[in-house]
Order: sequence, then structure tokens, then C-alpha cells
Amino acid sequence: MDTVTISLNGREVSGRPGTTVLDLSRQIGVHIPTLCHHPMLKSVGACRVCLVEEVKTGRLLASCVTPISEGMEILVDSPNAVQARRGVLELILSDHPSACVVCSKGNECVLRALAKDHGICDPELDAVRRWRPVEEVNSFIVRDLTKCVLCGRCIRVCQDFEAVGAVEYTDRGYGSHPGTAARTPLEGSECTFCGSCVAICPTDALAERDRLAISSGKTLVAGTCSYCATGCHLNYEVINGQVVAARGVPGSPVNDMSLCVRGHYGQDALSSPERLTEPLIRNGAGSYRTVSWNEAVEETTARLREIVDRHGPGAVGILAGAQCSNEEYYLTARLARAILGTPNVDSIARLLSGAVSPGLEAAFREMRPRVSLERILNADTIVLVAARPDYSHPVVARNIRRAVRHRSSVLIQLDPLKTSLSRFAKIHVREDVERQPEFLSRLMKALVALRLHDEAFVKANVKSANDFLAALTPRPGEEDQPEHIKAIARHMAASRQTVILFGRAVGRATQSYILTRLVADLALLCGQPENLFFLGDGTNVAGAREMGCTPRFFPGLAALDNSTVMTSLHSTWGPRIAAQRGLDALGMIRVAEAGKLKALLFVGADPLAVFPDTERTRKTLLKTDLVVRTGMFPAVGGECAHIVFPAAALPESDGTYVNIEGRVQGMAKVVSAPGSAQPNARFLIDVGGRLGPPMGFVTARDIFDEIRSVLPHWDRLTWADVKKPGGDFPDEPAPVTEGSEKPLFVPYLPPESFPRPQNAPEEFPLRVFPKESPFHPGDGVLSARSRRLAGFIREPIIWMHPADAQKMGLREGIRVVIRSEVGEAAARLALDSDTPESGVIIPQGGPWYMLHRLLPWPEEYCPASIDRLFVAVAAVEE
Amino acid sequence: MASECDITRLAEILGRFQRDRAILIPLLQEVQAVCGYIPPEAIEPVANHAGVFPSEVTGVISFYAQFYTSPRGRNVIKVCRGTACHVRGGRTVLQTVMKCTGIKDGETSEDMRFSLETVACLGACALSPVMVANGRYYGMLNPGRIEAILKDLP
Repeated sequence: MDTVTISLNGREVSGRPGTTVLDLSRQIGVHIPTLCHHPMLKSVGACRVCLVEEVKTGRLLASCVTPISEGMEILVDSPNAVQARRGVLELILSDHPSACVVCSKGNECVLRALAKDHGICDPELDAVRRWRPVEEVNSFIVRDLTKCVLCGRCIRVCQDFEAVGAVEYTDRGYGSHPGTAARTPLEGSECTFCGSCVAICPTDALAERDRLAISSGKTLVAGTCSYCATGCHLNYEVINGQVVAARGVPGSPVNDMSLCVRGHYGQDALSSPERLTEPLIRNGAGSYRTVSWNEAVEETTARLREIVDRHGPGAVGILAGAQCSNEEYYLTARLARAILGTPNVDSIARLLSGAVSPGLEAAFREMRPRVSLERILNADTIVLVAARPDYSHPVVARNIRRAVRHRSSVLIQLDPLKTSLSRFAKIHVREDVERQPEFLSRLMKALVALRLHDEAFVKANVKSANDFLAALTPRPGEEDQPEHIKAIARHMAASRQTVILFGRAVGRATQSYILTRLVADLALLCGQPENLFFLGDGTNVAGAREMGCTPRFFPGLAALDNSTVMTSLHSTWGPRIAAQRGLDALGMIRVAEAGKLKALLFVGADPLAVFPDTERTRKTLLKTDLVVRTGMFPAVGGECAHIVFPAAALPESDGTYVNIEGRVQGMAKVVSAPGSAQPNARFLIDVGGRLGPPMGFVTARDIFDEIRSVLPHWDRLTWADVKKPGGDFPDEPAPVTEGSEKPLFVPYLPPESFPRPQNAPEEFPLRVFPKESPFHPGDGVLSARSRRLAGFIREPIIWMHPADAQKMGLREGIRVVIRSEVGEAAARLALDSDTPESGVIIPQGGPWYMLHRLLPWPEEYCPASIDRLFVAVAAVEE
Repeated sequence: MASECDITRLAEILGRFQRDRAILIPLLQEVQAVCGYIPPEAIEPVANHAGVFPSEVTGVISFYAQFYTSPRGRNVIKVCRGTACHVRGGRTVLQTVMKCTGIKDGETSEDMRFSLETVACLGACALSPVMVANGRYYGMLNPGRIEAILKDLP
């Protein structure tokens, strides 16, 4: 039987078996009031507000959990049903504080709306009050459980939707409440402060702390979150031209309804009183004077022209930040190569992700595997190689947790540290990035030895397949790989979908390039290149590469010697284009130190927040002839620029962004930028237009249209489509060279060939293990200005193994100073036996920029050798 | 007393149970049988073993009166506060036990000798007033007998 027919309010209605009475009635437009029901959650029938009457039996049924059955006769608003519903509501209201006038939930309160609809003012029932203290400990969530109606929405969203499981019904009867494991405070529980429970709470029991404004006169404006490259779709709540909150949208493509702690609570950074509002020019003495936008532009162009005239265009370098729009990256590339004539253009992505991009380009060549976050939900095996999505891309981590929780997917974690995902991992191999190349090499050997790889795919699609497979095949007499590696190989082989995620630690390892190649090899060996994700920093790093904001490519990742691309660029960019390979971010600062680069432009990048070795970078910037910077906030570590332009935030400008899946998502201006702050695009257009012929762009859409004309595979994207939730995907680019769409294995490297980890020098005995914070993604410039994100952990904390601390005579909780070869930083010491011995965990990102102060400039061609950073820790007097 | 249930004993207990959420209550009962209560350190390993969230384990522990989250005395005294006992002097029984042990309802003495609980009915109304010490019923109580009974307990 395909359909079930029932009578609903006297109408014959049919639905598929399993449909609930509530769903069927909503489909035909019959309203049934609900409280605990939420369309994104499994119904549990906890509140009984949705009672309806079955006429034949006279029974009252909770419609949200009652499946339809043939011949049912349902009356939604029969006198019995209405009376019962009223009774239920009166009981709920009887022990709910009737202080609606001062409750911040206001018109959004589901309970108040129900009371109003049913005409209940003050239930004449003796209340059994269960007053509970208001919990206002952390900077994100206020829990006032006196207002809790025990609907269990927060519990269901936490357990099923976010798959975190921080809360569950605890205690019984009048004492029951949503509680944590072992009754720890929320701050010490598994809670990630994603805020989904707050967003879904029907009353004010869970509320957002320190909202900028409370008013029912808000407007909702759709947009994208600016904190990372997941590109979550959300609604900004705007009151009086100010973003006061953000909410996930059920059913939106990338993130469904979820946002993370940054998305929900970090938007207050936009309204920070620290925002730069006027352009600044440095006086001789190092003080700054406020100038008009035009004066700052005049000054910039005059001084740039002077430098180009005297030293040539190659003496100028432009570096864009990690949060710019595609349009801004494109303009940056055009300003550099076509207007100034310098090839020195890069984004700070290079600093943040090291040799990952070159590695992936070398492996996949012109093949662009199309990845999708939804694949993680359906993965059978998920492998994390030095990836910590729970901190870097929390919504990606949600998909992983859900796969483990709901599909029993196998999570394999390769990470020296325990993270919040470790408790979901079936196998956690605590190897560090230094040992990971060897590990991956062994894993591939195990896959081939057990004949578990996808030989058909590899032979058909990968260019150097035969040599590579031959090299991996074990020689007679060669010893087996260790058992845990074989176990991982078997898990990967037994799965139809194996998703591999690798993270920023790969980018910042000494062997960044080779590690990337090995991860790519592993994905190819499993026959699943489309299931490989790089979880790098920055909001739009993919866009920076695609737009040619790199010293190595033209827009569209076109080779600099590609004559077809060159011809087409000439028609839009003009006759003079710098087509040689330029300096990358670190190259620029190095050459500037040597005195050969005279001008540095930072577009939306704060140099001391992104370059290692703060002191050396500062000295270099201070002696450079011209440093110009656009930014939202005063510089981290002191202003080094001669001219500073106040920049608009992402929700304050129009633009498009590429997320980690390759979606192009458009964002319309949500609110105006403060003071004279302007989008970076305005800065680039103004400076470019004065140095060369006017560019003729008025809106971001004009630039977007030019990008479409330059990138053939972007041509089908329309402004209207990319602005829809989830945006749109560009086409696969056509391969330029015949056969080069086939990926390539790296020449085989046996496990024994990788260098052994370095020993710690005597004076710096501890290896540094950087650990990201979910509160401070990327360069941390934006999150540091969020009162709530910065307020959760107020001082830097480092972790050591208790045994090491004892040896060094250090006690838990004391203040310490960490010293490296190049700098020092202060912190408070915490002890944890999960810390690797002879190691120290220090926060990466965050408002303290500890790593930048300790990390030396890396060797040439080596992005950052965090795995070779050694420090000493000593107590300081309080 | 928190070290009563060391992690090696826990591992041995866990090894005797299937990795399935259905074993959660028997598993917790076993942990309590060995340790005398459910120590907070046991919650996470138990949750991982049963494949549930740690908060769910706390949810179960807090729902059932049979589970304890703090160490209990060597002798557990349950005094009946049901109607039949009340009429025949149940309150005096409770007061006497409190006086002799120096603890109140729900407490454990510092020397870990006694834990005291009150229950709604012990189902032995014919013997009222009744109390149970370490599972053994004592009926027709009077203050003198109570003192003697408690004195004999280890």
C-alpha cells in the first residue's frame, strides 16, 4: 500500500505510510500548535501541546509522533482536544516565571505565543516553583533554567544534529533539567558553544549573552560568515544599521542550520569600538594624523610613482589578506601585474598553508576534483591527517561527528595531540607531522601489500601508476607493516567512501610539500581524489589562487607562459603585463630586509599578525620606504605602516567568495562600514585608477563580470545565482595541455628514507606543538576584537606533561615565560598528561600571537618549520 | 576514597561487557558493586564502551535512585518514612539513627561507617516501625534496640 488515507477535520487526505498526523496536516495547511517539535529534529512528543482527537476511539494523540493509519478520523480542534491542549499549556505555564515584560526573548518566545493563542494569562494552578540560579559564567551563553520547559530541543540538537552530546536530561521529576556529564559546568563539558541550542530554545532558558541590542524591530539579511572558508550561510540580524546577531538557516546548502561559536557569537567584532574609521598618515615622528580618503590615496599613489620611477616596478610588492573577496584578489593581481607592472603579488595564504597548494597542483595537475562537504556525512571511513576541523572548521567537524554517531563511520586520527574529536576516533595514531610522511608511506605499502587499493582507478587515471605501484609492492622477504597500520588499511579498503582531510599543520611542516604529495597519493590510491579536503586558514584562500593573486599564476591558475591566456588578458588588462614569476609573501619580506624591495602594500592583511618572527618583521617594515596597509583594526604589535586605510568588513561590502568545496558564494552588503571605512576594492580601484587609466568599475558586480570574461570556466556563473544560499559552482576548467588532466604520483619514497626527527638543542629542550583554538581562527585579527570570543579565555595558557614540569621544577598554574631562538612570550602553565613528553602545547592564533614571536623566518622554500621549533620554559615571579 | 575504583579495575569490568548501549545499566551496576559508587572518572570510559555520550551516562545515573555518585559508608541504613511506620513512631526511629550516627538523611559519616537514607515504604508495614541495615530488615523498633543494632554493625 503506497498511501494511507485518513479523515482530517472531515477532509479525506492521503499521505505516505509513516507520515505523522502533524506533517500531513501541515502539508494541507491545517495548523496544529507545537512546542517541543522542530522540523530539523526528531520528534519525541515531550510537551503534548500538539494533542488532537481521534474521533473513533476518542483518544487524544500527540500528532507529532503519531503516524497516520488507514481510516483514522482526526479532529484537530475538537472541544476535547482544545481543552486538553489548554490544560497542558496551563501546567507548563504554572511553573514558568510570568515575567514576560522583562524577558529578552520578547516576541520570539514560542511559549508566550502559545499562551496568547490559547488565551491563557495566569493559570489558576498552585505552582511548584523550581527556582534555579541564572548561570552566567561563560561569555557566550546565559542559562536560566527556571525558564526551561523541558521540551528537550537543546538536548536533541546537541546529541543528534551537532552530535556533541554535551547535555542530556538529568535528575527526575521536578528536578529534571538539561545537564552535563558528571554535572560539570558547561565550560568544562564537551560543549563547543556552537550556539545551536540557544538558537533553537523556544523560551529564554538559553540566551545569547551580551547582545548588542534587543528589539523586535530587526531585519534579517542573508549572507555568508566571514570567519573561515566553510562559507556558512546565515541570516544577519540587523537593528539600526548594526549587526546584532547571526542565525543559521534550516536547510541551507553548506551548513544546514549549524553555525559555530564564531558564527553565532563572533559577529560583535564588527561593532568593536576599536574599528579604524579614518585614513591615517604617519608624521615623521611616528605619530599619525587623520586625513581624508582622497588625500591618503593621493599620498599613496605619489609615493608609489616615485618609487617605481626610481627603482623600477619590481621594487613594489603587494600582499593581500586571507579574508578578501574574489573581486579584491582579482583587482590586486591586476593592480600589481598590469598597472604597477610588478610580479610580486601574493596572498598570505602562502604563509598559512605553506607548500600545500604547490603540492596539490603538482599531484592533480589540471584535474580539479570537486569536493562536497555532504560526502563526509556519507563517508564510511574518515581519515584526519594533522587536521583539526573541530577547531579550524567546526561545521565540518559536525559532519564528521554525525557520520560517526549516526552511520557508525570509522574515524582515523593522525595527530600528536588529543582533540575534541579524539573521543569519536576508532584509531588515534599519535604521530607528529615529522613522522607522518613515513607513516603515510607505510600505510600505502600496507594497502598495496594487502591488495586493498583501487587498482582499476589508479591504472586508468593516474599517469605514473605502474612505476608507483611496482615500487610499493613488497619485495620478497620484506617485513610486514605494523598491525595498527594494516588495521587502518583494512578500514579504508572496506569502505565505499573514504574521506581524507588534512590541515594547516601539514602546511606549516618542514616537509610540507612531500607530506601534501603523500596525502594526495593516498587519496588517488583509494581511487577517491574527490574526497580529499584541505582545511586551511583564511576565508577565501581558494579565491586568491583562482584570481591570480599569486606570484606563480595568472587568473584561473594559468601558467605565466601561457600565450593564449596572455593574449586574452592583454585585451582587458592593457598592453603591459608583468608575466615573470614574482616573489611570494616570505620572499617579499626577505628582499625588503635586504633593502631591495622599497614599497609593500598590505591589502586587508596585518603584517605582524601573519609573519613569523615579529621582531625581525617589525624591523624590516620600519626601514622599508613605503608601507601601506588597509585594515579594520589598529595593527597588531604596533603600527608599522606609513599610510593606513580603514577597511570595511566582509558583511559591509559586496563580493563573492570561494568556499572549501569550490562554491562561489555572493554576499550583498548587510550594513554600512563605520566612518570613512571602505571595501578593499575601493582602495584598489582608487589607487589603480590614479596610477593607470581609470578601471571603470562602479560596483562589485562590474568586477565580477570582468572576472567571468577572463576565466572561461566562470562564464556560466551569474550574479543572481551566486547570491542564492549556497551559491553556484563554476565549470571544470578545460585542460590546457593534452593529457595533463591526469594526476601524478610522487616518485615513490620508502618509509626509511624520511629524515629522523631532530633532537632538541640543550638550551631549548621542549618541542612546540601548536594547538588551534575554535575561538580564534586564521590570523585571529577579527576574533581578537570580539568581546565574547576574546573573553572566553582571557590569558594565554600553555600545557606541559606533568613529568616534564616536575623535572624543571614548574608547578601547575604559575606564570611562565617561553623562550625560543628569536623571541619570548608569557603564559600561564597548565599540566596535562595527554601532552607529548618533552613537548609544550602553545595556542596557535588567538589574540596573543605567541607563535609569531617564537617562530623564526623559515629556510628558503620552506613555509614554516613549526615541527622544528624548540623552546625553553621558565617560571617568572608573580 | 576517590581512588577506590582505579582505572585497571574499571578496564577489567568493561572487558566483561559487550560494546552496546543496552548494557549500560548492568555495567553501571557492576561498577557500583565493585567501587561502592560510580566515580566521576568512570563516566567517560563507560560512555565510550557503551557507545553513548558521557552526558547520557550521567542522565541514567541521576534518574535511578539506585546509583550513587559519591562513596557510601560500610553500613547503609534505610529508615522507613511511610504512613504505617509514621503512625508507630517512624520519626523517632529516624531521630535515633541520626543521633547515634551523627549524620542526616542522605549523608555519609566522616569515618565512612554509616550512610543514612529515608525511603517511602519498605513493604513490611506489619513490622512497623521498620528500618533496613545492609539489606537486613529490623522491625518493631524502639530507641534501645536501634542503639544496639547500630553498635553491632562493623
